Amino acid sequence: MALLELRDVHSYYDRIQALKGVSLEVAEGEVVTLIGANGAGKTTTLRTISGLIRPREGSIYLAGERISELPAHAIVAKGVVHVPEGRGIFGRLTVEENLRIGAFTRRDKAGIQTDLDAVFATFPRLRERRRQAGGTLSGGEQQMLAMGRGLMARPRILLLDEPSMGLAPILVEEIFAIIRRLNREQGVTILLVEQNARAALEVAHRGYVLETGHVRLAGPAAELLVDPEVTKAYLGGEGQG
Amino acid sequence: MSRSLLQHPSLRSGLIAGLVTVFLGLVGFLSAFQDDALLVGHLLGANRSLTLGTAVVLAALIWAGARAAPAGRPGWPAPRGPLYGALAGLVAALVLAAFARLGRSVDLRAIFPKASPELYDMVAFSGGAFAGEAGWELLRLLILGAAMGLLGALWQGLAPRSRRLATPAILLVLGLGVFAEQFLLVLAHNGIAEHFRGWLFLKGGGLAAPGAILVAVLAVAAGLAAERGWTPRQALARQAPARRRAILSLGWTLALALTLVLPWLLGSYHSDVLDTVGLYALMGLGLNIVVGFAGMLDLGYVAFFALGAYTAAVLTSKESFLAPCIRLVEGVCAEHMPLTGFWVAVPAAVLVAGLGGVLLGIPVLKMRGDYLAIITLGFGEIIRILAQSDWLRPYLGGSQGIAGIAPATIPFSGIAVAGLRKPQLLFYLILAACLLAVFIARRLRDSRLGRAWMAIREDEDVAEAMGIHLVMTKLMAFGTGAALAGLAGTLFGVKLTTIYPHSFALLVSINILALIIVGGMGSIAGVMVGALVLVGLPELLRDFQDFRWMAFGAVLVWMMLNRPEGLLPDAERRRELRPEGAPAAAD
Repeated sequence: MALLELRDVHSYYDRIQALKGVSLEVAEGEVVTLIGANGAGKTTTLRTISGLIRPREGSIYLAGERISELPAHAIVAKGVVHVPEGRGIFGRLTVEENLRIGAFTRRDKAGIQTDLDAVFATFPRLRERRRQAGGTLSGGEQQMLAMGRGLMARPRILLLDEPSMGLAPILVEEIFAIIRRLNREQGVTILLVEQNARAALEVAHRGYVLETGHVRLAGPAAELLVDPEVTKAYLGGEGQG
Repeated sequence: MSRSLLQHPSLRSGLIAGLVTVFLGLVGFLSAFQDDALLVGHLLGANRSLTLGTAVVLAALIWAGARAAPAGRPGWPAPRGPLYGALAGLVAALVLAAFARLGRSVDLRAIFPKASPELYDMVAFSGGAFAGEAGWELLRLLILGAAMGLLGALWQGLAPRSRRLATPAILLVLGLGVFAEQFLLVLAHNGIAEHFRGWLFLKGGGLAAPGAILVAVLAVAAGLAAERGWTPRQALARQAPARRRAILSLGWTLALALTLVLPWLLGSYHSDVLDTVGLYALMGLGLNIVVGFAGMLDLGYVAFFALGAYTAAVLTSKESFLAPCIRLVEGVCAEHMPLTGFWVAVPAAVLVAGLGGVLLGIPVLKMRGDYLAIITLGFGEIIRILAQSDWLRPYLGGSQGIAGIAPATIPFSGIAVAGLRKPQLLFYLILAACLLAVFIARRLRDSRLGRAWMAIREDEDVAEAMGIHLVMTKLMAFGTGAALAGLAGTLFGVKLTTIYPHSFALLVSINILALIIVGGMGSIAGVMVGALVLVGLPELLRDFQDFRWMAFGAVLVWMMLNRPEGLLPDAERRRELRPEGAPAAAD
């Protein structure tokens, strides 16, 4: 059974339909990526999963339990943690305060402290800046903070929205290296939305290509990487295969 | 050509200063303070006094000179500084002269009731202005203007260190002068006023010249001491940690003892002012939870204040429609109830106001920012209009309000806090309420709930994505804030013994919001400072009352331009608005 499953999900922004029947699955321990052009519905899919938008039709299951009717805070409590696009750092709170808010749904003090140390071990730069205001961090550091904050909730699945957006190439590499490490070493399940399709497919196990609210293509990441259609539309037409 | 002339700093500064002075004169600001002697001294063979009104005119002239003078080498006036300054003063004086001359020939009173001959005499610094020796009077005014402008330019040219030393001295002298009457009242209350008369304060109010000089010298000496690290803070830092703690706790004990005897030192009137400050501080602490912590702009906060006040009034007033029932209950329970009236009303009022907060919260939670502000504004007005309505007149008394509110009692003794000593005794009650509110606010701020509030304030969407229950968290903020306002409302009713709907106007909400902003949004100590500055000062400046809102507006504009984080900001706001030594690393 898939850890996360979307069945024919339709979502709207007022009267504008953004998702027109999206179905997808993420298995435990997988990195799955959603790629597609601007406006294809990638971010909307994540927002629908985390309950920030309610699907008008279709349903979402977490380990077989229907979560699409739950309010956002309850979905977080179930272990679905969304790291939003643009990072959503609380700019005036310190790095540590940001991380502690990530653990808001938990009440085990000792466990939170352990996880805080674990996040600082994963992102040593955050430890150096733990007393600094989140807003004064660089873009890459803010992304690390956002991911660290997501991990503080002990997610069963982490939803990452455009983690590489606006970062210098060297930092993009670092962020993807961290995503790979989180998955391979710590076993975190990740649903990754990316504009940078090549990097995303290189780190993912499987991928879905979204187009105007539909799933256009799906398959193992390695196959999508060499698919002529995908190559042409999303990988800059270099045509590796 | 004319354009470049208009851009000349002397002309611009002079015109601004002159026109601002004329404006202040026309609205009556200057004449209102013409009787307040700031300084009295023996000069040119007669006792002359500098009134607050005249001081404002002189300050405008000096400001014109200071603004016009170009910046020079530090410690030296720029070459053309004195000339530009004097010119600016001259221009400002010309504006004043023209104004006085115009007023003499055209009667402006039809439009500006305050445009009296006395005003013209005042701004023109003349006896019977421009009546007989007009030429001589004009010359004198222009010389005075130029001299003041020159003074401003020289001030601008002073070394920063000299200015740093002189500023507190000048402010202190002005402050003592403005509040001379208040100080004398307090001193007289303690029976020691006579010791200060003559050399420090004069009989008619105002600061005497020797006193002014002494105060200025002391202020400069304190500034010099601070330069050498002789401030209490640095002296404390030099002590060993154990001793430092001992000294600190001794200091706190002394401060607490002083607070406890304060009402008796101040006397009845000033204790009453302190009570009002305390009530506003209490409400400020409550609203600070809603606005400062959770970031929800509430413009109808006065509604909860009213809910608390009316609940307490209905439960304790002799005139209340519930009075027969209450008498009955009290008659039955008299033997078993050590606490009556007030002490029953307090929890009831807090509960009703808190519930009111939650009930208002439920429908408006979906709103954010501006929309929330408008909705709460409407709610505040609804409560006031309901209280005033004929429909509820049998219960709430309409615009007559509810009179005969029972006084507070000292617990378990039944002794009522009433009569002559009432403001002093009430102070302890209000102080206790404030301390309780400070405790609650501090504990909440550092709690899980406090972190959730701050997350919502920073970004509602992300907060929700972090698993924060928006509805519950916001309702908690609304309810807690409203409960504190309800407590303040009860004390307010007890203080006045009568409440009217007029006491719960929109202006109260705005005042509380302003004191939070001036003190420093989200900061608990800031609320206290804000209440002292925005409620205490206007209370003391009784003549100021008419111009309170003008000064208030000016202070707000100045604050937002120069100290947007407030007087005593909390750590977060300081981090945001005054970033220090934490530059963002490059991507």
